[in-house]
Amino acid sequence: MGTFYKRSIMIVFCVMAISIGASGEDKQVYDFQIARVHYDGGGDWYSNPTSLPNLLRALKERIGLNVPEKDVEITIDDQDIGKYPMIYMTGHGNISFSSSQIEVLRKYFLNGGFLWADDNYGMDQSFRREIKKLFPESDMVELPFSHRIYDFFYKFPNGLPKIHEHDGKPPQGFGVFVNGRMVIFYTYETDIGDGLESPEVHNDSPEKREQALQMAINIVLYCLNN
Amino acid sequence: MWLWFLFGFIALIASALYFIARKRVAFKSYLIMNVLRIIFIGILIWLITNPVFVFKRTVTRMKKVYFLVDSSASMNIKDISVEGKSRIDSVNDIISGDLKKKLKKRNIEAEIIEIGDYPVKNNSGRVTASLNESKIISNLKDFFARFNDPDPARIFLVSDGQDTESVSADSIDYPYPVYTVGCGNPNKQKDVMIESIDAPSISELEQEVQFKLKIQKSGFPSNLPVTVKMIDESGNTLEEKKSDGVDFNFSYIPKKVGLESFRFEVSTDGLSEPFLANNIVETGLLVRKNFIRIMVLGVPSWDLGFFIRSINGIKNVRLSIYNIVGTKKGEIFSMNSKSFENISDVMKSLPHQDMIVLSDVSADMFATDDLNELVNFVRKKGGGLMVFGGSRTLGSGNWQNTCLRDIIPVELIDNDFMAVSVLVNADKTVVSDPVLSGIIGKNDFSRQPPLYGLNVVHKIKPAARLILEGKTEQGGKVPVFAMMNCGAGKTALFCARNFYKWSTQEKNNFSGQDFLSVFFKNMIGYLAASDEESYISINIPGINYILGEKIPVEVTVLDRTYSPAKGSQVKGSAVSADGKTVSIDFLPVAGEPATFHSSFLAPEAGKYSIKIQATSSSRDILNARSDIIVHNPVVEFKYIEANWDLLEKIAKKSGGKFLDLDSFKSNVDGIRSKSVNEKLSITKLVIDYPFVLLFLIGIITLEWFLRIKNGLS
Repeated sequence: MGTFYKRSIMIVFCVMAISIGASGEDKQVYDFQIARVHYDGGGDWYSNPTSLPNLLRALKERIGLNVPEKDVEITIDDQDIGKYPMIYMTGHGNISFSSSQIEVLRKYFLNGGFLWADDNYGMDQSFRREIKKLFPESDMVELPFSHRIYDFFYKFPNGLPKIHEHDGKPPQGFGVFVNGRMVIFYTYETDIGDGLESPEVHNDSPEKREQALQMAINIVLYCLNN
Repeated sequence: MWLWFLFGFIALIASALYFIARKRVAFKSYLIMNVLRIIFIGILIWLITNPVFVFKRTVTRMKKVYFLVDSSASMNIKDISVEGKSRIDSVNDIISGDLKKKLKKRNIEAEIIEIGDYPVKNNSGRVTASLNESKIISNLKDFFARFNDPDPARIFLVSDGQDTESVSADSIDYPYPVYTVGCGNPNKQKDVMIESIDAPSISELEQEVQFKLKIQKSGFPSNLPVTVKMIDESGNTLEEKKSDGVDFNFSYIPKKVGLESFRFEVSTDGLSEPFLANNIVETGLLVRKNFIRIMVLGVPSWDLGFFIRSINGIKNVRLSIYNIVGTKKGEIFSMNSKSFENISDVMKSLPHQDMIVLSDVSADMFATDDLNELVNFVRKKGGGLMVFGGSRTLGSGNWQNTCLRDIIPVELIDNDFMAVSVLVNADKTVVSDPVLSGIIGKNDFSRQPPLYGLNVVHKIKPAARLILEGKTEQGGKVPVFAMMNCGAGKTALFCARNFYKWSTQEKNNFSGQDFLSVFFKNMIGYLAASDEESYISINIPGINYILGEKIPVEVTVLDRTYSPAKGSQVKGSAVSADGKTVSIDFLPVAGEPATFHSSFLAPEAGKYSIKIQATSSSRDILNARSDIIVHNPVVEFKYIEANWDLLEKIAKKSGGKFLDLDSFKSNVDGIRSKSVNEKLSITKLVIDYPFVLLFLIGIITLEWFLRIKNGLS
């Protein structure tokens, strides 16, 4: 029997062995996926629905990542939260973590998870309160403009871009560090999520939308390299 | 006391022998012979105890003049005012010439004491200046403490006054007046010197080192142009700079591991200087490869992020991360420089790395030359290659049609990537393999979450070792992790994709986070750190030391996972270039596991190799070394002018007088020859007196005569 036939049979056996053994899990293998957190407390966790699909599309087109078309929605109690090393939170209202959710999140972060929280105007107070409950020993610190996240791929020498005006304050980026690693990045008074939305939603200028997209790509690449 | 017992015993024997013959001799003769013999034996035994006669005698001698001559390094300076002669030569010429003749003519004794490191009598008549620094006041104090001449004719201290200790002339008591003699030139002299060098003494391989020199121009215009050269051990000029400023910066990129020494020379262009020794400064640089350099090249992904997080905690790792992003052909994005770089240029820098990690990288992104660079890096340079699976790599990334197929531990098939669920297990035959050290036993593979992506390889190469195997739910087996020696280097392949999910999930007590963190560290130990020295961290604060300075050494012994090695022990020694060895005894540092501290003093100037041998409970004996240079102290060359102020203060405080060299010659004219009575205590061994021997011979001869006379044999 020739080498070609031997090889072909080997391949067929391998493929069979594997396909027979495949479980019912999601068999797509992506370079990156993001999960939107459906949190408790009454806030509109679902706001800016087109933002994450737009970000994923940009990651595919600009960075060449193999990513799904849509984000995944999960609750904090979801057993599968560990499958998503980057989770996203946004909204205008109240956020609340139960004590069991705090335990889940703490373990998630210690195991390498990363949260990007984007204040859509109105979630700041409750978010800070809940994060203090989550990590009472760690303060949320404002990142200097020299932080790597601001020039990881695209350059933001003046820190976060200002997408939407809320209270006339400058945009600020905050981090929560655990064991020297930034596990939470909180964008405040910038509204990057709105900037990621499709153009017809907020009628943002192309420049503002580009800034939002570039900053969001930086956040993803930072997460994937740290 | 025992000697007197011996004496008694021998005397008893002697008497007994006579007693046997007693009947044949008269009692009177018997008694005399016995007494003579006992006296003889007694004196003989007494002499064994080295008895001495001590007596006092009053002698008359001439008063002495003492010349305390500074023999420190600055006495080598040739001042412009004394052409062609160093300070010490001028002093020698005066003392051994005019002064000694004058003193001898008037029957005055002279004694020369060198005041260098410590006071020492000079019998040769000429003093040689050393390279050591001078401590004038401490030396004077030391001299007076030992001085036992109650009535010296005069004490001269001949020096340039250059002093390296900050001790005041008022700090000691002077029992006699000291006539200080200032040699050298106390006025500002024309001198260009290297005032200081600011440079790291320990550097990493191929990392730029900056030498910052400060030049001092004394007696010259401040804008005088000077030339500074950086010269290597072989005498080759590495760099030459000319400027009218005083700050000179030199940069150097070390290319080889070990101790390198450099000489920096400053010179004026054509202008003469009275003193050149301070125009040269030597310094050492210890070049170490005390870290592991890893280039990570891959598509940004959760797997890559987790890998980077895992190894970022290793103290000695330096990462260069390149992301394959965007659509720019032939370019990759450097996360270190935050810019796009040419792939070919990046691959050419591979020889500066210890290991490369390719994560989901297609062969098609490289030019043929780039791939050859990669293969050479592994095969010829001994580099390590770690490959992670993915949908763009290995068989799915066209590796099988390039030279990359030859350096990985498996045979590939086309389009090998599968999205599957595979449970991983370690074969029983490899559980003791060092790459699984610290993992097996802690984690039960049978309870782990499955892998969700895999490159299905054809088979393991004969030279490779299969470490982890995947098992499908239906029992099919697929290789997951294999390793192979490849020429001078090593390669490893982790076929898995989405292994990050192990890190974020905890299931049935299986901690993927723990498993992968330790596993990746072990991999780096296998692939990149073939040198056992990477497991011993030697921490010496500097490389350049001054003779007499304590040299601290701290050692940390690491295990295969780069954690402090439990139960380790360390011993060390410092070996000079000519083989002299100083033992270094280490003590454990409290609160720092597997860390030991010691310090030692080098016996002389020169290069030393600090050799460390460590043992731990889990590993064989490890050896590592580090080098240092010990320099002779030359601090007093910082300023070449003589410091007569100090000499004047000593003279004033002691009641003496300050003299320059010319006055010194004539000063001895005023010393009057005068005899002194000195009571001497004389001690002499009894055996040195000839009459003792004659007395013994007389006794034994008399005894022998009596025996013969009485008919005894």
